[in-house]
Amino acid sequence: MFICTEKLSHTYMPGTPFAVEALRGVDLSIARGSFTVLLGPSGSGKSTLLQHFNGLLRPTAGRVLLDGQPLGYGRRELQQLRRRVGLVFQEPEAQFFSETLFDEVAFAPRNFGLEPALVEERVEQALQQVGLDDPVLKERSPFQLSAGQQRLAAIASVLAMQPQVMIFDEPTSGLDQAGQQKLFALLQRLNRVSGLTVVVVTHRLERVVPLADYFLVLDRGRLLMEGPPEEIFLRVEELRRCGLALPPVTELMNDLVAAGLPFSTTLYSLEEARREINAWRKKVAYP
Amino acid sequence: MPKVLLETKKLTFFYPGQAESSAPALKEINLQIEEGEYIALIGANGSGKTTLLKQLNALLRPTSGEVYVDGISTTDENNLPQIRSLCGMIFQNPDNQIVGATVEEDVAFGLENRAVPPPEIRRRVAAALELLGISHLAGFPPHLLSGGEKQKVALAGLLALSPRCLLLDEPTAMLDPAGQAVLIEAVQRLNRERGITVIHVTHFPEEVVLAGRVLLLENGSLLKEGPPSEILTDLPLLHRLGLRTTAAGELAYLLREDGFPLPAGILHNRELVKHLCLYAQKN
Amino acid sequence: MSRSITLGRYLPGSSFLHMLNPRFKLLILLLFLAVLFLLKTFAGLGLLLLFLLLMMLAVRIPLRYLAGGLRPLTYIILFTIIIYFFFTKGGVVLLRLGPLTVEQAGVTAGLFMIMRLVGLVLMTMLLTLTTTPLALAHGIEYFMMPLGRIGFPAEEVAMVMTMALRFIPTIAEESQRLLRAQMARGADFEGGFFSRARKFAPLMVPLFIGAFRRADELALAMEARGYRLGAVRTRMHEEKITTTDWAALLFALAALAAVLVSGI
Repeated sequence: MFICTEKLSHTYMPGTPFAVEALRGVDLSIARGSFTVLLGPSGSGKSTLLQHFNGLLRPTAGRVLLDGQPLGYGRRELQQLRRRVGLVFQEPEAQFFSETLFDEVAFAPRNFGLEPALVEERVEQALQQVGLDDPVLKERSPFQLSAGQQRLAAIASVLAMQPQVMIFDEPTSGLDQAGQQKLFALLQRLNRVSGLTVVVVTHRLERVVPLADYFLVLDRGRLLMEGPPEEIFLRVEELRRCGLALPPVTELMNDLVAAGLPFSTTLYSLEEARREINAWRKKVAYP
Repeated sequence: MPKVLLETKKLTFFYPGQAESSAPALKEINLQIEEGEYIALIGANGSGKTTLLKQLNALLRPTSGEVYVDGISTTDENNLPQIRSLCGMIFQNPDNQIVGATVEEDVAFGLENRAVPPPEIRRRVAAALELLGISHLAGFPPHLLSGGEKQKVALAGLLALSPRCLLLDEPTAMLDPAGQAVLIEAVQRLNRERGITVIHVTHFPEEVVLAGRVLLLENGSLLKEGPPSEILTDLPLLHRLGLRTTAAGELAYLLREDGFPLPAGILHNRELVKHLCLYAQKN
Repeated sequence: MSRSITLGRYLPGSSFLHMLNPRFKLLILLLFLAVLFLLKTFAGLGLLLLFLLLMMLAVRIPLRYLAGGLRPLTYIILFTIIIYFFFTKGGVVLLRLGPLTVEQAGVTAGLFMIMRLVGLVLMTMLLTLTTTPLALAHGIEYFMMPLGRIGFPAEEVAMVMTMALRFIPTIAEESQRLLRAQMARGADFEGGFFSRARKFAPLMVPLFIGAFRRADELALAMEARGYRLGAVRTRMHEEKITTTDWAALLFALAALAAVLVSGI
């Protein structure tokens, strides 16, 4: 397993009246090259967990392992770790501070002390990956880009470290439909073409479920479920109890099954549902 | 005959500093909204949804044309306090609209601005919190609330002023599904039980289908209006604008294309379930 | 989150100090400040510190908060020690380091100064830990009211204070988030003060941009909710004055009189 946690617990402001137990003994593992989705209601500890994966937070108890090695928290070890595990925060364009898109994306490689030529190469590659490799755009202020482009630029600024893992916290929040579609296509490319391990926190399941191969469900700081989608979305009642929605298509299939129609409830995309219903129609019409 | 609460006549608007030669943010919009209606306002990013919403409580005012709220024109500056009591607004970002250091102080803000006597403020604040079922949060500082709770607090702040109309600017865009469900339920109840008019800007088709009437904007013009069953089933149009319909609507459309005998206008899961069951029985 | 935040933070509770009217608390603080600076002997100062510590216990503030409150003052305390120990002369020479000497008068004056500092921290903590920032702002506003008559915008200043208090936690969270986000992009904020200051732009620029956008939206929301500059406003809570308030004020006055008369 590529990323593992063992009895990972985290308490904010321990020993004060403001103490909050955000994670309580989480054991999980994420496979190399997988596309993993982390689900959970707000306040379940998702963001806290993500920040443990690249050492931004230190466990109160338990430990985190990357590629079999427990994480070290020395200054140099942390720098190494953050190069390998890229984390894209929620609304990451809020971090912009540079005068040009190029400088913004070059921030990370420069922080790691790369040669200027190498920095340039990394920036080019990262912008190409997200589809912003336009010489005019590169010299423009990142603040002048459209909302969708800003999001892509922020992702490029993390990709420029050439990490092995990319973690996204609500990557589509605030984007319109077109922007969301582009973004999920990018996530899919990063996973399938570039071979990165992708971990995503999101509430917008309709687009992400068809891409994902593994799910983790957190509830009140504990790991409630883990497994492939066909296992997770069978546990409808448990998901609803902790305030999670099903993907809309899955919801629809559940309603059809509840009405006595013979469909599978583990379908996530419109195309799958369309095929299933058409096949059923043939059987009913020409028995 | 229900009375008209909101009306725009040839409403055209340029943002200050915007060149007259460029396209206006809103172009010749004629609208009549009756008291008690639930309206969904949809359109792609930049189509003018939020701009139109801000015209309806005079946060912005027409460059030409007129906006009337309960018969009062927004053009006259003296009418503003009255208009803003009639039409309250909820914004997208829950963090940037809560003013008070505690929940009850925030709910009281609008009443304090209108110099309501303190005992009356306390009574109305308590009633508004009660109505939304958040009395237990009264003493909380806002940064300890969830996004959904913050939006409910903002809603309570409006309710304390007994408004006739709620203007909602993507209030659920930053909420999780649980928070979204709770807020929408509260808004629907206010519309149903108290007859409060709702104008709801949203990207979510699941929210649009709750409306009685949908207004579709494109580039500052009113492109189309009608019931959800008419607007949300015109998939070629929606796709051209980068918009979506519900899963049931989308699937019904695809199945009809494949020659499945389904009627037009399906948007809800229950409708699709009903027609597929009928089909199974017939054959 | 930072631990040094203890200074200036409210600790919920229901002790008599929590219940005192903020206006009275501010007046009492002023009186005790006068006592602190009028005390001339170690005995007097010791007595005051003992009293303040007992108050902390009485209102159930854990004593380790005191350590938290003093930590940010470490440098000031060190600085005080150096200045007084080496530069105030008089009395027996206690220590000789090459050309430098530490003499008795210096040590006495230095210790006295540090005790005063601790007293000051204790008093501030007793006030802020038992008073919500909002109540404090209302108290300050009350004393600014008379200034309104000479054209000072007391109401507006009070509104600004209230809003600042409302947004301090939000902005603190945001800066924490920004710090982590830039660290995730390899920014290294470790190291001394100067190397940190050099790396300020990636933090300060987004923080300011965010704050301006927030202010913009907030102004709009306030306008939509009927706030107008200069308009007459009322307030939800009128603050009550009880006999405990008067008793506490009289006690503080008595303490001040006692110090003045006895000259300890």
